[in-house]
Amino acid sequence: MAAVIEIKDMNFNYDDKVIFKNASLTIENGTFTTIVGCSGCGKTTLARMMSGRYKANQNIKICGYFINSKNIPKLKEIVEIVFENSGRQLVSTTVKKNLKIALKSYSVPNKEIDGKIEDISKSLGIESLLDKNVDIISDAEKQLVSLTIALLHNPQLLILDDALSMLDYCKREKVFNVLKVFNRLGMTIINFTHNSDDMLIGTNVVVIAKGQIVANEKKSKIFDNLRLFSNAKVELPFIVSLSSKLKYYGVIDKIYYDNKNLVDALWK
Amino acid sequence: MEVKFNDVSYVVNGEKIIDGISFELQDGKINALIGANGSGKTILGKMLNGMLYPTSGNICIGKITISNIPLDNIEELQFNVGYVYQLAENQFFCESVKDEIGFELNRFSYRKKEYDKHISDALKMVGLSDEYLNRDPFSLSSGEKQKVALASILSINPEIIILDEPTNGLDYQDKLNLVRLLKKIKRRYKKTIIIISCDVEFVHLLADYVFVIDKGRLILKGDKYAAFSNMTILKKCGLVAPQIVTFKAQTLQRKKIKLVDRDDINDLIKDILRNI
Repeated sequence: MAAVIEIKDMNFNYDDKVIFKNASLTIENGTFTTIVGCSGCGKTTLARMMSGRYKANQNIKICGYFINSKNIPKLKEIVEIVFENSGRQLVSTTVKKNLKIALKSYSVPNKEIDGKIEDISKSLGIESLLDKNVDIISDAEKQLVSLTIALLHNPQLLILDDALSMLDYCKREKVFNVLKVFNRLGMTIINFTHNSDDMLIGTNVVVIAKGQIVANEKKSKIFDNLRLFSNAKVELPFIVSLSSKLKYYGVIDKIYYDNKNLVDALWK
Repeated sequence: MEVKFNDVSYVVNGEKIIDGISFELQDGKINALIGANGSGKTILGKMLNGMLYPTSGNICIGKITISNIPLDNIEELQFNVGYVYQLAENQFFCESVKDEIGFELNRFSYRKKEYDKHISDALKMVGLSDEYLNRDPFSLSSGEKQKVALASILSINPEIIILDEPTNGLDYQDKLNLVRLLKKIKRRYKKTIIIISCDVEFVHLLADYVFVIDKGRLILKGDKYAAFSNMTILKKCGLVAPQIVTFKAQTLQRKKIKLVDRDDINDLIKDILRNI
């Protein structure tokens, strides 16, 4: 499987503060990777490097291209990044017009525009927002609209930097179901997040701590080493945390990933 | 200080965003207004701070009544009701933490010679040292920004503190720190705290009382254990119960074992071990 992100021996400082020191990371094409780490560990810095907004003092390859001025136009075609406050970039008009502007900029033929907007709006449950002005919708709804615009581009690589942080549980669930479909269809997704439950959603998990990539594993393997999470000051998903503690007390023999199975294992 | 909504509605372009809401918040407690995105909870918070006015009905905050007529004494209201924005940096515009907090003091005509003490005290209340005074607030981490925003509100010593989606951008440790800090502010300084949030895990750890808002209406209110145990209504409102509550409900439903209401996972584990 080809690598969509190739970073080797990366260093990055803010003035005197070291953010990354000799950090290396490879993310394979077609994966849905969740990246976690405590506040200030460098998640947003890494996301910005991947999008070419920060220059590191070494080469970073995205989708096979080095980040340099020559390749930026190509990278813009194949990579989309959505930040927590990307809603600020929306134009002060209706949500639907924002989506149309985006589709036109992606060179989608006029006759296909309405159909594409209808389909994606239905999937993400934003039909009721379409005729509203972006000035009166909530910040969470702006996050949804920003994500919609990125998905309409259908990029090869989608990077989310806390881009779903304001969504309520039901909207998050809906969004993740849509993202899983895009991922199955070939889109590589990288989700930088503070929400530990997101680790249970994707295919892979990366943990950042103290300027290093301390883990890069498949989801099925990542919870084999729980000390890694406490060292990185990263919260475990509730069900993993509960299972691991009960396993420590010897009342169950493995980690469970849902309530139903854990309850059944505890009281057979 | 009494905070009471009386048949409050808020209409935009003919659409009722808030639909005839009446309820009273608990004085000196941590009150949480929870609801799905777009439920209207932030509108309610902004009305309490005078950023928005009801289309009809009124809100009583102590001796101040907020109706559809703009207040003459908006400064008095905002002196009593502090508001920390959803994205804390949206309320910053100074180049140092000291100036940022000093701006609030200047706005409310505190004596200049007392500035340094108020600023230092406010930083101390949120657990930041004087080393932060000359830092650029925009360069801080999300958790630190949150604390500076809260400190600038605390510096003027309002009776009521509103925090809109305070957990955005915070990691778990930051959230636990914020829970401890707000509980301390409630206990030590007797403040009424209002949390506007869809983060039910955070609200479950922090709040005393919960008010569930859906489509501009009050659907459910009560102490947090009672409110969060009503999972059917929460689901109808686009919310879920906190995971510890969901686990307890699953245990009762599948095995007829009733566990005690708990906030902490370690207490839950003790209950499980007792019941095995």
